[in-house]
Amino acid sequence: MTAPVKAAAYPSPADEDRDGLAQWLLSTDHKRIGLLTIGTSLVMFLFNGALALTMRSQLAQPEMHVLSPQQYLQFVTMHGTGMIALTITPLAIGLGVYLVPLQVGAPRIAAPRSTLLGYWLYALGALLLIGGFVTPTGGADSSWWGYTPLSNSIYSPGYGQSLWTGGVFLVACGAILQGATTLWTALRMRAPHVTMLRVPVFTWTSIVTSLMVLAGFPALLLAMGEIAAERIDPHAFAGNGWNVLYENLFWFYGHPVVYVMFFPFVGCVAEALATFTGRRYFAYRGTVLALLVFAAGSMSVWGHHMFATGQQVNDYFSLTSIMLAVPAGVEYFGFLGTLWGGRLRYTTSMLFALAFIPQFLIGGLTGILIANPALDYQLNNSYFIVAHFHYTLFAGSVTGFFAGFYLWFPKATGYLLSERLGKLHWLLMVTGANATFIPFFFLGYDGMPRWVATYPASSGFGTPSLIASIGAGIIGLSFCVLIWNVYGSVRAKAPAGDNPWQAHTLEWATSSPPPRFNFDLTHPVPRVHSYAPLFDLRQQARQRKQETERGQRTGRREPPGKDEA
Amino acid sequence: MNRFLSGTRVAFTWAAFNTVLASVLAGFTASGTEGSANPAGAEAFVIYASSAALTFLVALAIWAGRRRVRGISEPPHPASMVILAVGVAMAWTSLAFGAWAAYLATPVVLAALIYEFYPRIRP
Repeated sequence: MTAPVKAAAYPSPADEDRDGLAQWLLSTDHKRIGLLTIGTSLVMFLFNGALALTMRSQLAQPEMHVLSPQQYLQFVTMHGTGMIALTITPLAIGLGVYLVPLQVGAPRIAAPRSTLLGYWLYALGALLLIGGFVTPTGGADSSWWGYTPLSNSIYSPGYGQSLWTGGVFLVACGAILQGATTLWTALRMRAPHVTMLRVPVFTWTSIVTSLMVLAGFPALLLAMGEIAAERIDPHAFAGNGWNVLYENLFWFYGHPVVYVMFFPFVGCVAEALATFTGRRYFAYRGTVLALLVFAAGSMSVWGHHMFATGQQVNDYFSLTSIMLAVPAGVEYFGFLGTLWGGRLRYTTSMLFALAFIPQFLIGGLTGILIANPALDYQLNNSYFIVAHFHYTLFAGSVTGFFAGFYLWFPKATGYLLSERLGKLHWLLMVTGANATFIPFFFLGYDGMPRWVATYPASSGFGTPSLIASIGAGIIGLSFCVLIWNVYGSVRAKAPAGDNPWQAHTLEWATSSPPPRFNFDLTHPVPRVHSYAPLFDLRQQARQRKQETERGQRTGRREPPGKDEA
Repeated sequence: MNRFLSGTRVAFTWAAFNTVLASVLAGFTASGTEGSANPAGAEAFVIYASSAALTFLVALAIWAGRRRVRGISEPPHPASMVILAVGVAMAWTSLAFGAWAAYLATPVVLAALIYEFYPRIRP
């Protein structure tokens, strides 16, 4: 049925085949590095989620004192940095490290040792960031953006801020390395016949993500360099000009990173929708073009974070920010077009993909609202902003991640997850997310500012805050269900098979889990004619079967197909 | 279209998109309040133009690597990468704990370099 393009017996050294901890931690296999990155990110997710639950306990009622104001600032700083730099960004990049070589038919990732170095820089950076909490002065407390001069050694004299600076620098270096190797793999190491317009949508999202990492993250290195200099000599960059420069450098990373945390999950949703509707992804070429334009456009919108400073070209950044609605609309058109007329299978992955569509839409549309400087002046630093970015990052990106998680878990492990527990996870997470973040909009509208450790009873913030805190608890419960599901799956070892979902892309042509060099003699790279090669093969097989049946009915003998011959 | 869209062209196209957007920003920079130049916009433009130039360098690297044929081989042992990462992380802790952390990091980084290069120069 399949025509092997190139089936070589790749070397498979004994030390890579073993499953000891050292073999995992020192592996140059992109699948292991990808899983390590994703696994570490999920551990970080639990840690930063626990910080969020503690903060929600504090804010559930007026005048609560679970944390001191100083501890609250440390928690909120670590929650922000941890979720962005240590959790969702590495999840996005780790998915690319795992999937891109498989989806383009490459036997390995480009520069695998650099990819491993990227993982270790990330892991050690995470250790530095969290390490601040065990120092006598506690963790960093100058927010996830670490504005100067607040983050210099005069205003933030503790160890935590210094460790934060080093940690963020290392994590950014790790992301750049992993992004670069993923990009090179996608652009330069594709199997024969896998042209750029035959790579799946997920790989395209990884390509644009990697381009953004390479273009945007070096600015963060410069920004961290500025903080480091100010921690050595707090007068090194005295003057407001330097502070504005820091803001420009930080947000030149800080806004593209929002899309780094978005595009790969759009890819997850696109693959899940195509798989569980049994259709090719709709408007593929339009989506590819939209991704390229969207990614370039999202490099040009960072200034909207600085509208209220009065030190930015507001009209340009407002224009570019609002213009992003156009490529985003094309992507949504692709989602809806794929759903239209499809035979939907409501698996857990599909449910997460379906939840992503309206939830991210809420985050996106409120983003357009605050791209208007006049409105931003009013809403800036209120809970409305908190609601907006939690809808994009949690209700959007994390939901999209779980569409991919439930889709590719059988491929990565060889085991099936429980669909029943998966659907319970979905129900709790979607309920919890909306119960938490919808009240934030009302709180913001009523004028509740961000970064407050508590509020007076007379403010009227009590009821929406309580609902939000209950919602956060439901989200926490949903993750307990997820952990139970993964534990049960690994214990039960229900075999998944090579392609349990009848998915369309190249990674499903190999075994579950894939061999060391991805494809081997028993699972060669099939001939690729489109971005959905396995869908093509199934279509061809169905067509041949129909022709044979028609031939038998008419008594005429059909000639054997090309591949059969 | 399939033939046109090579990996190199994707990278160059993206770099070109960024250049166009940076150029538009330059136009806004020139029209500050009351016809004067906008210094804040100039700073933003320099950052964006530098990034656009960087994307061209990335595209150039991808173009330059087009003829580089790689065999499928097992890469050398990666322990030096891990040791290097540990050394760099230790060096960064000197920002918090003082220069002694950097002194401790120096032999670790040297060990990584020796581990990396000694097998290559060994006869």
